[in-house]
Amino acid sequence: MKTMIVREYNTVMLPDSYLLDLNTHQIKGCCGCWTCWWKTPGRCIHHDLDCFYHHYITAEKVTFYLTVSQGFISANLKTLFDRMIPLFLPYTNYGSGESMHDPRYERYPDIEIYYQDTFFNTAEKQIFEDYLQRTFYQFHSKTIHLTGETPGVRS
Amino acid sequence: MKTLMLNGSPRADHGNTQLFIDHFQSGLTTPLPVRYLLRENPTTLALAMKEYDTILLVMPLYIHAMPGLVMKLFEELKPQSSHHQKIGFIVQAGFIESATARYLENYLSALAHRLNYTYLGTVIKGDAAACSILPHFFFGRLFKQLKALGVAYEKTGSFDPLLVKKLGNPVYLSKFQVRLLESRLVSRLNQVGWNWILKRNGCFENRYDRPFL
Ligand SMILES: Cc1cc2nc3c(=O)[nH]c(=O)nc-3n(C[C@H](O)[C@H](O)[C@H](O)COP(=O)(O)O)c2cc1C
Repeated sequence: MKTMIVREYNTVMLPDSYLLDLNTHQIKGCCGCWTCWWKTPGRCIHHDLDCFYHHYITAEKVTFYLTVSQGFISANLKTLFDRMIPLFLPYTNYGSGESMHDPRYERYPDIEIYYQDTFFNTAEKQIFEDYLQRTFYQFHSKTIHLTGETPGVRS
Repeated sequence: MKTLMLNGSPRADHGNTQLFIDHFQSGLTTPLPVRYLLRENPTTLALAMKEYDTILLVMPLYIHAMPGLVMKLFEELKPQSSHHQKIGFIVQAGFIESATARYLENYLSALAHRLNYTYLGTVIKGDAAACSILPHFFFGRLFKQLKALGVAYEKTGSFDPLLVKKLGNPVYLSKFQVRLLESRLVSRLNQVGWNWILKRNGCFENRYDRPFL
């Protein structure tokens, strides 16, 4: 099975898995220019994520190891999400009862998320989990699993 | 009352966020200072924010939340020692229904609480992606509402709840709206804008490209 790991903690690595280490890789920000939809469909003007795009779209499963930052996902991960817009089409459908962009590719990977559960309260944790569920649902992933881990303890 | 407006768009003063700020400001007798996250060091800006009683952060919705640029600023903010500072947000988005921003709204309210700011609320306006593309008369009503929001803010130091409600409509798409939007005619019409731009840029034939397979 082709897999990919995106990590902010943990040193886990699988053979033949592509790794995006967000501790060493600062993602260039989306500049909102729409080149990826209007001028070069599917391609961003920045090229730092070209390898990531290929591995993400061809992986069956992508595993994330995330830290919590100011009660939310980190700015670097948020920037990665912003830069994933070229993987979808500009056209919108409403079949699910809400707005949703059409897929550009035939299939999208299953998502497994582990995060360091450093939340002060359950309300903040709910916001974090709801947001990630929402995002990958709208990114057309069929399976999304989230697991909070106490820092330093792997279940 | 000393208020600072922040523009959280990666398009800074060239995008829809700037139009929202301009029309809000048109309702004020004294314009408020505006700073652009794109052009600032987040650490320095976080320090500068302490000198104001109130922060109004205006931003586009990016992947159901704030742009990465805005999260960079949030990471630099430290909890206030007292509740004397206030913070409010104006979020504008491409999708029609404002419920699309409720994940962000929930987070912003929790963030204000976490940082000990008094939370003024979040104004959400959907269907705003074309504000800076289409002629302004298409958005006349919106711009009037933003001006009125500014007028009320100057008077009360808060967002007028009636205007917040109006701007937030529709919260969800009704079954009728969904059926209409999904109908062949309306979905064709919705594609016209995109297709026109794609054709003008000479890449209409490539619109379904899958470059990363
Ligand atoms: C990377 C990116 C992600 C976006 N994500 C969303 C979204 O999740 N929901 C939405 O309604 N609009 C989304 N939009 C549309 C913007 O919110 C909208 O175009 C906005 O008006 C842009 O404001 P600006 O011109 O000030 O940058 C996104 C736009 C971009 C460039």
